[in-house]
Amino acid sequence: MVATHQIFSQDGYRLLQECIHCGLCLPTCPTYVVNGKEADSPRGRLSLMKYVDREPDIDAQGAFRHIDLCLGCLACQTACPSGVRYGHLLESSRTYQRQEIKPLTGFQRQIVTGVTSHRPLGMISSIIAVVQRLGLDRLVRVLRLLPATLRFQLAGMPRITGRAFSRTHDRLLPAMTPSDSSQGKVALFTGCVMDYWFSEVHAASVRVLQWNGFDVTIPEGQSCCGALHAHAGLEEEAEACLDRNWMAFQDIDAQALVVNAAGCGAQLRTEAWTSRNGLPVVDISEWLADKLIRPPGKKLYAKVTYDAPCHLHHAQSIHKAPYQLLETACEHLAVLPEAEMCCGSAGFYSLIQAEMSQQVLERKIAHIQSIAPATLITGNPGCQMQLQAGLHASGMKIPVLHIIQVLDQAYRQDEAYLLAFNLSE
Amino acid sequence: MSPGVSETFPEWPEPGVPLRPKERSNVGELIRQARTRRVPVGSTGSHPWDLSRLNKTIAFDTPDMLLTVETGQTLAAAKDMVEAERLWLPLDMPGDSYLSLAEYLTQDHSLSWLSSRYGAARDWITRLTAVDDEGREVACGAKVVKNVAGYQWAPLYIGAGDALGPIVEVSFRLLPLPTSISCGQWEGKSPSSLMGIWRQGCQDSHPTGRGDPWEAIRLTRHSSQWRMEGITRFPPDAVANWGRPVRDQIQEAITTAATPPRETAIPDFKPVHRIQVLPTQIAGLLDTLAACQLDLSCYPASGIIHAGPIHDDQDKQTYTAMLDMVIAKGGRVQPLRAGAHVNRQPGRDPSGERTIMTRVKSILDPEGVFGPLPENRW
Amino acid sequence: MPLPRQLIKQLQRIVGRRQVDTDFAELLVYESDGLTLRTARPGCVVYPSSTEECARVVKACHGAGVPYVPRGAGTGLSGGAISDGGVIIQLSRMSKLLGIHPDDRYAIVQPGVVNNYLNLQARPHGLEFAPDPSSQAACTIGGNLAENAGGPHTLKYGVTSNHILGQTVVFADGEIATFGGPFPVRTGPDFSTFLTGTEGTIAISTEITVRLVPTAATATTMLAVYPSVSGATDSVSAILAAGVLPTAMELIDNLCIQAVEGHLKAGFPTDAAAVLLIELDGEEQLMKRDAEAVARACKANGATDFHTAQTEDERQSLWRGRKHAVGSLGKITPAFYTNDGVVPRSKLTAILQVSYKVAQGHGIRVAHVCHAGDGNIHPLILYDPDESQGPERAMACSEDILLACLEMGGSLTGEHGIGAEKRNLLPRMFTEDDLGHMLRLRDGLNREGLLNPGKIFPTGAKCGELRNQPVFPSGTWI
Repeated sequence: MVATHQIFSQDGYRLLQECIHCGLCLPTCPTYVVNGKEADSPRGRLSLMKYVDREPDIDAQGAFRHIDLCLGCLACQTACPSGVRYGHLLESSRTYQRQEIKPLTGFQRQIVTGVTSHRPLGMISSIIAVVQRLGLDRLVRVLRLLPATLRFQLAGMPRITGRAFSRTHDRLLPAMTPSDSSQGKVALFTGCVMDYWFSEVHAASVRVLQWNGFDVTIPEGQSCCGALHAHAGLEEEAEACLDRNWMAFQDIDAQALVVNAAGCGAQLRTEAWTSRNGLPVVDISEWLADKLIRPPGKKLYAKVTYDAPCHLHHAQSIHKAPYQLLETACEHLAVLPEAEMCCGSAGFYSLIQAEMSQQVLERKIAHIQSIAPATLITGNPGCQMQLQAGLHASGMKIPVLHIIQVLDQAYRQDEAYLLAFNLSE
Repeated sequence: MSPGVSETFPEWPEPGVPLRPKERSNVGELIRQARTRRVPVGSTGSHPWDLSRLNKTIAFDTPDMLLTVETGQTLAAAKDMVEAERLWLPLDMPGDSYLSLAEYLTQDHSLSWLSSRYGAARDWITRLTAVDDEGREVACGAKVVKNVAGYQWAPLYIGAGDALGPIVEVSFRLLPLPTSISCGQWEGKSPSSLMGIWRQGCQDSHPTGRGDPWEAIRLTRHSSQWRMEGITRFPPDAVANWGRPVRDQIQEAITTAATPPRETAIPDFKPVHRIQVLPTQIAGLLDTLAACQLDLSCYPASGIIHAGPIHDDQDKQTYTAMLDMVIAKGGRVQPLRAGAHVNRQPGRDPSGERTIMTRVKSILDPEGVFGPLPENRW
Repeated sequence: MPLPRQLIKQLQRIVGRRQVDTDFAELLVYESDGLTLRTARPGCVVYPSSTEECARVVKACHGAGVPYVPRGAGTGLSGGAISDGGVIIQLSRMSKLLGIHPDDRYAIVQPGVVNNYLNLQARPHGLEFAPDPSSQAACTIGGNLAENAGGPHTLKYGVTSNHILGQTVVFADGEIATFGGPFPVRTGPDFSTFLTGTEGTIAISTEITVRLVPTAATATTMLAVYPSVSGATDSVSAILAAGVLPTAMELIDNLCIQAVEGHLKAGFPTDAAAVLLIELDGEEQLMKRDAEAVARACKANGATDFHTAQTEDERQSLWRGRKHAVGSLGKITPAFYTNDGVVPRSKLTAILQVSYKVAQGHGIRVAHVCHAGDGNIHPLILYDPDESQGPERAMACSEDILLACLEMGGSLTGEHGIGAEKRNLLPRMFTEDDLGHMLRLRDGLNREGLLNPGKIFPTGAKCGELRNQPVFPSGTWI
């Protein structure tokens, strides 16, 4: 019997067969933990993919309702004893879904491409910056001017300037002299949302890298990593992003491409990238963990806790490095229960699947409440906004910072560091 | 020999005379005959079983660490046999284990000083054969150490008197015999200091403070003398250090033994009640009981006290009030002799056990071929 | 045949609309548990959140005369959690830890609590729940209870039935009852222990009181490497004969080692015919002495290498290799079938020889992981589901191995249960009278037979009828 396949190639189908139906992934899946339904578990979704693939008459819409509910956090990949490449299979089925079942509407497509390309993102950012400066964001919240999900998101946004880091960093940072660069040169990936909304994370990254003897280069022509496109099933657009970034980095003479957004790191670290570019992609925590030649002289005293971004912990399997780094900077690093479980952000998920996203977030917030830290630490812009919004909604005034920002704060206790980077205390 | 009549009893005996089958097949014959005569058999019926002649060792496979015997054997004999091969059946009963295994199991006397570590009879039985109400031999389990095929109904029969039928054969899983056992014995004037040593042993023997170093432990009071005995695999010098500060005015003896000693009987001790509470409640109860004149035996880690009888009237009041409190707080008081029932709300069956066992009885013995369920289990 | 609409409506009223699944895609994912060879699609899935809801659901099904099956995480390996057209009562929402009492060493949990989660909560108190099936990261306490689950460490600490103190259950007619309690030791008769291992055919446990035991203060894990499988199996008996009771003795054979090392790198030598993973715990001095005895026994039986894990990381790595051994097979075969036979310990060498030979006879590859100390073997029979007769050949091979186990005085299953999978073999293990007695209990306590039908006992077997029925031809799959 020769089977016909709707979604997968014969090789793809073989990957699907690696699932032995043992169920070890179930308790690690946020959506399964929340509603206890097999169809909303990784094992269930793989079964659904298998059926859609092989039986064209199946109710594919019904099946994709559950596949849509997947956050793509890849916790199941960490748990899987058979090494099933769930993320890969998920993207294949989403691509099929966009092509055959339910193409994105023009508006949806515009949102994805808009937020991730420079000009529209710049415009949005300028508007938000003005809104924030005038205090209108509070007005929006009080008067309930926008849909609830958008209001919720707005509360999680950092204060922004409206300008991209990649275009202003010359003014923001005094370049260290090359003589300090005893550890060599690295390139920094600036991305899209990170570039406009988290320029402070980029600035801190550059400072910490330079302070530890790295010469940092920020090549022009970089673009979005394409993760959001890929997760939405827009395979071609994701490819295009990869191409643009490849162009931007291919001739750069550096040891590594340092990424400080877990989602971007996971997207760039694909076989396609490694096969054609010599520049290895590394997460900043992974890169610095064993290269911190000048650890902070004094640790921060306040109690902090760390929530692992899924795309760092599960997609890139970076488990220990963030803790190693944070231990050099923090006196009281408390272990957050279920730190490796998703916060419910997952790119556009928090907008599209708001209800599930909120349920997943509630569980996370409850765990944070049980620790009651002074600062919550993570390593990805989406998580940072989602967690900040969740904490805000639950009335907790806890700032959410990137690992590198915390390290930067620890360094700021040192006069020499402040002086070197023209920082005021 | 007429069909169904054992050669031991050519005529059906008078009520009260034990049934003493010579062969395994006689058990079924006797049951079938009792069925036609409508005479209930078993310890709660007209004729108790005496299976002492069915005492064969069916299989004893040392490398498999399994023992299969007919239940006419005594627990002591079974334990002797396995210990000779450096194996161990970690079940015990105070005294010299003189009961046949049939009685030991159907009455469930398996609560002992080993129980907090090694549980009760049901935890060591891998296969059990009984005879049903139509005189057929029925078995559950297997002669292997781990098995989940089919229903394991042995726990229903253990402690059910003979109400569901007599138990005729049993297989136990065994352990390697512990070597170099340390035995501690302490005597003192009050239970609290002895309990202190026990508690301190648990704390000192484990990094988390929640150790359980005792293979067996028992605290007794006999003729106003409080005594605690325990055996452990920890070396004697470790035992000697546990609870040092609380050992004032306590006589102690710490020795070693090549094989684990068995639980000794307290002379003339015939307890009236079995009191079961949570381990954390034991110390309080012992303090109350210390004020009364009575003998007792306590397994602290199991939350069990065997106590009684009591003669002084004033003590009786204190004692009864204590029993009421135990029941009110959710503990259990089980009468160990006829007439020793304590005040209980009529029909109260907090564990639901009695109701379900009555149902099981009606399923497995609808015609009442066997005597009723023993009253004193609940 | 679809379920009566009336019943669906009634169920929706009890648990809420969203907690009743009836869509095709939602039901499809429940068509098998950890055993993929057996599939059956339920008519609906309902998610109660309390004992009372569960009882009302059962009453509704009972009233409508519709069969119903309780299910936990669906990690079982005997097809015990599937229903053909009936109602699946999915207990995943009942996953609260109701209380942990460290001083009295017990915990009360709902059935949906994951084994590992309970341990995570108990460990800070220095305690743990002893049964540790390899699926413990996902399997639930309710499922452990139903199957009387085991695991590597049961050699010393016993199986689930030794660790259940009490339970609240819903009977087949919806009646709620409570048995046992928090007391650490119980005398018989003991209905709660009887229920443990009845695979959800008599009652559904909705609240479970479990014993917690102190975590081992220190533990040593050793790895013995053998050029022949029989060297490893002989070592098992030799270690016990030396008077040592390890907490675990696990055998992993070459094919399984290949699969594990292929993607996990646990530290097993890939050229070994078999390795034995041995763990000791307890008092330090004793453990040292025992470890020497173990080393002697292993070397005397041909171990070419004997290694003690030096760090906790190394120890965890070896255990991860063992616990993920079965899952790793996904990398070397499209499908496999897990056998769960048991033999008396002294027959271990013989049964493994039979297993290899039988597989060879069927032209099938077989890998082994064994709870060797218990005599519990897991031949993992590799097959391709898309190949014609692939599944049938795997099953025939497994059946031959099980029959060999029975011939050696063993059992059909040590910890996975009979389920839907091996019910037709049960008459090979028990006499008609034995089975009749069990069926009396089932039919007396589950009168209409609506609770989890078609499990454990051959289908159609009713109390009294079995005697007149021919034994089901082996290999009949219904």
